[in-house]
Amino acid sequence: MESGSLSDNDFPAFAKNVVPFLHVTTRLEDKPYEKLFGELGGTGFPTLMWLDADGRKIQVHNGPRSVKGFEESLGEVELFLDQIEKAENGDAKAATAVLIRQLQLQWFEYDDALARREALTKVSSKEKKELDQLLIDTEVRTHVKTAGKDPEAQRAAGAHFFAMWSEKRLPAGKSELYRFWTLMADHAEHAGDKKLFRRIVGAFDQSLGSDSRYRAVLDELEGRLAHFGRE
Amino acid sequence: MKDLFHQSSAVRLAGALVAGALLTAPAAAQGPSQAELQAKYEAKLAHEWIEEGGWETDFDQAKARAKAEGKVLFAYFSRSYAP
Repeated sequence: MESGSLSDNDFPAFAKNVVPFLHVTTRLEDKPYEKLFGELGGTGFPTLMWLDADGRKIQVHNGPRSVKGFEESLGEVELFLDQIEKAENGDAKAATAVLIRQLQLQWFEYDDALARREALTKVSSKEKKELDQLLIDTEVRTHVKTAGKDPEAQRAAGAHFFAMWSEKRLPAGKSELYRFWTLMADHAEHAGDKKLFRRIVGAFDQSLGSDSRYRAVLDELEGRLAHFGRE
Repeated sequence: MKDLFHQSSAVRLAGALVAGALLTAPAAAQGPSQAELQAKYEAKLAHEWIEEGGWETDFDQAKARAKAEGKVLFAYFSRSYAP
């Protein structure tokens, strides 16, 4: 792509309407923002992505990798930015649509997301259902992020996830489900609750077992279940 | 053994991956040094299309410019550590 569309003769004219930003993942130890691509949910190189002036993801460019394709993609981005402006100017319907999109893009931590949800005044039943699910996924991500790599905090997050499960509030995203079940499993194991651990392994299998990417994790959980003490 | 069981899933999986890598990688096969990675990065930035397209490579500077000019960032994510 670098020798193609980005070095096209038309590119400099297009670039005047945006701020072209090149991020290179280098594996250098002290490079600022080295992990930015992963933090924005990037998965494969090369990727083109639209970001707002605060550096938040607006959308990945999935259209044609040509100046014409970039211009069309910019049009979609501008529509979203217009919608944000409408929401900020009191358009209640736009505010709901914007928050749904922002939650899908993972712009907010849970408390912020919840406050924004509570401020909405015009929400259809379909949008309510969508928002409820997006908030659950946001809640899981925020707990995982807050726990970091501290095993005790991770188990506390696992206990919280168990409470969510008891209330029938389950995440929908696969990465959220993965963290939901594995941290809950750590909590159950630490508490010596084999019965709960068994239920978690079953739920993991049911929700993620058909995806080969999670097979090794499921095998590992089953191995731990086999070595668990008495029920 | 009990302590091992009380490690988090993530820690255990990471350990298994590291152990697997150690078992399969030839002893002499080390990754590139930081100096080599720096050279690869600099070679990447030396491409003509970067200067011609007005690409920002500093994230904070790119955001500041986007704010000042009322524009969005068109971000291109690439890597220099591998071909």
